[in-house]
Amino acid sequence: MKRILSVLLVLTMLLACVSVASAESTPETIQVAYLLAMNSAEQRQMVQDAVNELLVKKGLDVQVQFVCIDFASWATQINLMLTDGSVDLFNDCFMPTVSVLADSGSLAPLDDLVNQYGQGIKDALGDYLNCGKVGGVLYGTPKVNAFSSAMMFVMRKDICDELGIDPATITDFTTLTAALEKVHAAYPDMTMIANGSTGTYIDAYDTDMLGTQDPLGCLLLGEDSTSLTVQNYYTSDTFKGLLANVKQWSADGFYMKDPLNAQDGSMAYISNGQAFGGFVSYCDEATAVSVQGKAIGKDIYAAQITAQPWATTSNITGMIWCVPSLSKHQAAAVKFLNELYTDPDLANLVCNGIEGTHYVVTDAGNITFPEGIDAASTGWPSGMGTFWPNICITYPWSPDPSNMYQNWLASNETCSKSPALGFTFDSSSVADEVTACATVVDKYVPALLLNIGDTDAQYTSFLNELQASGIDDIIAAKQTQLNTWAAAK
Amino acid sequence: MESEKKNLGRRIIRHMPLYLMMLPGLAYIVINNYMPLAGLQLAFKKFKYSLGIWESPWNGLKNFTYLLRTGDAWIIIRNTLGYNLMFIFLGTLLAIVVAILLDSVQHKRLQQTYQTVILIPYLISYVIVSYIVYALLGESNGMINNSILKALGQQAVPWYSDPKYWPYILTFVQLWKTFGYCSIIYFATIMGIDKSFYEAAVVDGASTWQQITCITLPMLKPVIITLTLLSIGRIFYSDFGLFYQVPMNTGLLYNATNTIDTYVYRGLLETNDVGRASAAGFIQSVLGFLLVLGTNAIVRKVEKEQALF
Repeated sequence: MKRILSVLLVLTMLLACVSVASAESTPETIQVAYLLAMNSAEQRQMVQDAVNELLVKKGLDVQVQFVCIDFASWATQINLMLTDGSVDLFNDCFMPTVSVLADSGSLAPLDDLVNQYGQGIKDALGDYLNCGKVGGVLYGTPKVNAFSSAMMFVMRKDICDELGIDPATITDFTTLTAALEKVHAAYPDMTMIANGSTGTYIDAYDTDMLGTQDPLGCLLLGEDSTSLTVQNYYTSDTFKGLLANVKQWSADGFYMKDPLNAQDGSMAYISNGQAFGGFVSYCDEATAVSVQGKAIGKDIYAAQITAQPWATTSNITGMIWCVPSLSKHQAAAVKFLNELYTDPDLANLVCNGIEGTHYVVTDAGNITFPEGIDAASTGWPSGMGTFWPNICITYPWSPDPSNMYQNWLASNETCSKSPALGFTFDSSSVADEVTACATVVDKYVPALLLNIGDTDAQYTSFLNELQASGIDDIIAAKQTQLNTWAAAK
Repeated sequence: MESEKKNLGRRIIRHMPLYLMMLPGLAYIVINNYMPLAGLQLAFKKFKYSLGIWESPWNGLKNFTYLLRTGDAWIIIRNTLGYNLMFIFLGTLLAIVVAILLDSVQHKRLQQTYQTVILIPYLISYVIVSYIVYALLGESNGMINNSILKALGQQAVPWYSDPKYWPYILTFVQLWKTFGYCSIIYFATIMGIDKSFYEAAVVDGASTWQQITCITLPMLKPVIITLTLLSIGRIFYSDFGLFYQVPMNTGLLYNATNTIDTYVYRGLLETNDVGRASAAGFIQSVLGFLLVLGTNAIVRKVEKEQALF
């Protein structure tokens, strides 16, 4: 008797489960990865509740759970989550590019889903949406941003003012060198050009890296802005010109001591007073001052060194939103993504937190912290708005002007666009060559760009080893794919 | 035959508690060491996240080609094997010498102190070791350049931009870090040698040197063979901390510091390629395994009872 009863009990429980699962009204809960780079998110639950409340109010059958991941473990953690589909929506940044992830089958193709649920995404991005395509298939949606970038030099405002240096007179490497020599004479112990522990302190400039993050084969926009010929950046006049400048700067004593053993990011050396300035890439000087000024924590000037900002696929896809192929809630993820691109209330919630708790709107139309809260004590990160899909429909933080993001959007209309904008190189056919060349670049470029050792001899063996590692094969593969892309356009 | 079976059954029942005690360890070995062997197939597959390990398409030997391209292949294999052979040879030698010296310390308290002190480097993380090395070798602030070479009127040496110094530096650092740990094992074996051998030797008028070569070393031989075989099994692996952290990932030093592990790490960091990473692991573990089999076969041929299996 007991046995029959228990079987019945189990059966009813099973039935109950089935009926709950089949109920139409249950919203899907999606997992959204959030990168914690600056400060923690103690009030994650509070913001998450507010987001979910808003979604219910809007009648969307999607609920959200934020998965907060620290910067140090971001790439590893996301990679793990891609293997079992435990995340439904994430920003592909500080990790392998979309074309690499797409090649390994980690990403869901988004064309149909965006056509069905993502009209707002299409409207917000326009033609820039094409940058998320690999081989004609859409795998990600770039965040809305100022898409172009030029080489900038950011420097200490107090020192410039003291020595009467007007940043507006610094427009190229020659005028920059002259200004730095002046500062160096007044502050001989200070490092003029900071470099950091990882990568190089100056990005490849005036180039289109064709959707990759390395300039092994690229378009040289500074030399010919219309040509679709893929070239070797490291043999270009652009790079040779930079090396000549580096020699001059090294002779002038502009670099720090033991620069190859730098332990911090380059901007940290400006923060702590050891260095005068450093190179960054931004769309305009005002943005560089705003973003880097906050990071450095000192008043700074920015001077644009290269002639004009360029919009390239690589610039645009540095942060791009993707849905994993193993996610079971792909449609819900795209629905939520569409809201992030279009709904200012939702965008403000994720970028800035809850009004009154994490920020207050000022009379000037920007926002600031409420009484008694600052960047360190707030419960929701304040400087991470640029992580989310559309910061341009939110309030800028004081002291940035309220129309800052409108200026960004305007710059996207007017900026110079690379002729290969929208093309992303699929490197899988030359993966061996890319791996070999990456090692060669790591081996030589940091020292070349700091003029350490016999750089002439190093430069020669650098080019020879690149050749031996198959850089010509990479360039040829890029050219073939680019030609196909241009013909289909 | 029948009685043997019976015996076996009885033995199993009698030693049941021991077998039960073995279970957790056995489960660990099976789950942690044997089940992942199925993953070796990844080395021959084009891994697709959406398809998983079993469904991903086969890829032939394509995952292996990147390890054999260009001059890098020769350099990384030379470095990996060269350093490891050096470490095995010098490391064993140093460990045995230290163990014998430690054994000849008469004062018990002092002996324990030395034993602890030589273990300290082994407990320091390589990240910290890399800064200790930097404090010594740094070009503008390092102790050797600033306090020693300068006082001797010598030119400062650019340690971090010339690879020719690094085979010595890395070997020194590795030996300094591991000699204490290795010598403890030899020391324990020496302690276990029956003291009457030595007493008999002294009676026969054997010198200390003769005691070492005729008693201590022969008694240590099984341990030396076992430990060396174990090291040979890992000869295609390199300590990532030693080769990546200690030279501070300096590009100019790659010719002397790049090993299979650091090459794979640097090369695949950007591409997240599971198949090609597995290919490197496959080569390391399978070649290591074959080398152990080979070395053991040689040992068995020369001296049967000393072989591991």
